[in-house]
This record gives sequence, C-alpha cells and structure tokens, in this order.
Amino acid sequence: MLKAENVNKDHKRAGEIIRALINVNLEIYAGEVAVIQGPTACGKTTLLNVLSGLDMPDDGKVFLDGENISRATEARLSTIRRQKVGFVFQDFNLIDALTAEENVEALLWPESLTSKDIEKRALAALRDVNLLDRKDHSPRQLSGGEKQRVAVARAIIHQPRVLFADEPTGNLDPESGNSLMDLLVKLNKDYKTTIVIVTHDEKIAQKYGKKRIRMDKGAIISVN
Amino acid sequence: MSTLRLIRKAFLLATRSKRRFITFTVFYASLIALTAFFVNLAFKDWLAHIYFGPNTIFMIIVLGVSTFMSVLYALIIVSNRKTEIATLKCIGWKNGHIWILVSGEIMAVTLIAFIIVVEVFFHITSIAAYILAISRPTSQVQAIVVVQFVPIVITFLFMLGVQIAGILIANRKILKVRPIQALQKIA
Repeated sequence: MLKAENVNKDHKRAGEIIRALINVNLEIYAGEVAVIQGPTACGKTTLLNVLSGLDMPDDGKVFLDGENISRATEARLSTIRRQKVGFVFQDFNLIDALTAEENVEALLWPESLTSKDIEKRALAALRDVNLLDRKDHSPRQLSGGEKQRVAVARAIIHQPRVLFADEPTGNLDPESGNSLMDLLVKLNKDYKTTIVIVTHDEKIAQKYGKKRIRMDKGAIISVN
Repeated sequence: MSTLRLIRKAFLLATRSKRRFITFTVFYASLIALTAFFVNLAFKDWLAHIYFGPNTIFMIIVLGVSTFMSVLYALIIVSNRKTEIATLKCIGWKNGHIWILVSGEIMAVTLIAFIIVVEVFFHITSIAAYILAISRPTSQVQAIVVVQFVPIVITFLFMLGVQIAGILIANRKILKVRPIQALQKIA
C-alpha cells in the first residue's frame, strides 16, 4: 500500500539545514492502522507529508499503491488525493463560509458527478460520523469534536484507500479524542481504509496503533 | 458540469463573506456608475470626433482605479483564503479548479454591482420621466436619460475587461500556495 525507500528530507530554517528525515525505510500494508509517534520535531509530520505526497523527499522514493508519487506532477498528485487519499488536520481546516454538509461535499465539487450524487455521498459520510443532525450548521456553530468529525466525513466521502491524520486529537479534550479515534478504527474495520496517524500521545498510540512506528531525530527507531 | 458547479459555488462563497462582499459591491457600483457617466460623455465626444477630450481622460482615470480595485480584491480574496486554498489543494483540487472559484467570486461582485447600477439608473430615469411627463411635453424625455444604452454596454465590457487584471494576479497567487501550508499553524 505505502512504501518509503531510503527517504531523506532536509528543511532550511533561518539559514540552518535541519535533517528532518534520515534514510527512512517503511512499509504500511493495506488495511493497517499505523501510528507514527515520537517527540516534538522528530520528523513525524514531515514523514506524513512525504508519504501523502504533500511534500517531496530530497532523496528516495515513495510508493502509493505501487505508483511512485515522489516524482509525480502536481496535477497527478491532485488526482491521487481526490481519488485515493483522505486528510484529517489537527486544526480541522474547515471552510467557515460553508455548512457542515457543504464542507464534506467540497471534495467532490470538481468531479463530474451530479449534485444529487454528491449530496447523497455527503449525507452517507455524515451518517457514518453520527453528525447528520448538524449538517446545516456552519463550523462556528460546532464544537471541536464535531468539527473534527466533519473533517473525517470530508476525508472519507470518496472512500479513499488511505487516510492520513496529523495529530487529529491535538485540539480535542480526552473524551472527544477517544471518540474520534474509535470512529477512525470503525472506519478501518468497515471500509478497510488504511489509516496513518501522527501523534505524540502515548496513550492514543498504545490503545489504537496496530503498527507503531517510533521516530526520533528524523530516523525510525522501531516498528512494532 | 463541474465547471458550472464551481462557478455557482463561487457566487455562493462571495455572497457569504458578507462584509467583504458588501464593501466591494458598493465600491464597484460607485466605480461602475462613474465609469458609465464618463463613458456616456466620452461617447458623445467620440461621435463628434473628439477622441482625447477631458471626458475620455476622466474615463481612463476611473478605469485605472477600477483595475486597481480589481487587483486589490483579488489579493484580498487569495490572502484571506490562503489556508482554505491550501486545504482544497490537499483534498485534491487542482489549481484550475481553485482559479474558477476565485475568479467566480471576483466576477460575482462585478456582475451584482453592475446590475445594481443599471437598476438605479432605470429608477432615476423613470422618476425623472414621470416628473417631466406630468409637468412638461414628452419630447423632453430623451434628455433625462442618465446614461444611454450603448455606453452602458461599453461600460459593462470595460468592467469585465478590468477584472482580467485581478483574475491574472489571483491566478499567480493561487499557484504559489502550497498544500502543505494547510498543515502549518498561521501565527
């Protein structure tokens, strides 16, 4: 499903070169729930960005479903994101001017589908995250946990092969965080979606990570 | 189908950003009214073979201000929506899709402002015609038309044209927004 081969990535900050990823080799199989954990600034988010095609490695290759995405064009990456990949961000990143339903639909607006079809899928996704009764509310009217569930609904409306989540519980209280993680695990069971989560929360990693990838200083130190 | 949908959604997004929408619609309406007024005067000059009279110069000045407003509006839209644009790129929107959304917002404000101005001109003309009709002969009606039809059409085409500058600037800015920005906190 996802494979990283000898991936290296540097960042330039204030004239200094920071080695964010050092010779990373990793394989995540279809249907797994993988948790990438480690201390702050260990390279977790950089690894997520590279695995998802949001960022390009300086060296090495990244394969998604057998396709080398580390050298794909931006147009091809856009198509891959729209068809195979879902994202859940720590800060939800919902569009305030749109309702919950419209935020979920937004992913499919560029597709050649009828509006009815898009609406049907959005409602199904909101049903999966138990938020159908709040579909006409704007993000400002939703709690943090509800916003994150809308974000998850947006991430699954197109039934992606893999869902990437960067600290999805980072801005939630513990109860909402656990509820969200239960939801992600349920989606993994129901739809066999591969889930890759970045977290610094040891409890989340222990409870939900079927595959735990520990990182430190840009390198993977263990996979179990 | 998807292009028309994106244009509809652009209009929706434009009208939902109430403060920005109202502010720029009022600005554009004022500029369109001024442009139409000077185009009307300049048109009469052109018919009299005066091609660079003061009315034409004022018209060019107002068009210049309109172009500036168009660019400013485009920059404000892209700047305010940077995280949203980055998020849309993360979830699979191409630059072209986002361009339709932003350009649609710019055109939505222009069209609505234009309709408002035309509506106001009609009302002014109707009220003036009514007053004249009850107090003077109807042959005077032609003189009270605020802006003639051809200058209205020319104004509309000019205003569409000046939006091109804003749309091109918006496109350049959109291309520079990287999807990864959606994952970074705005300080």
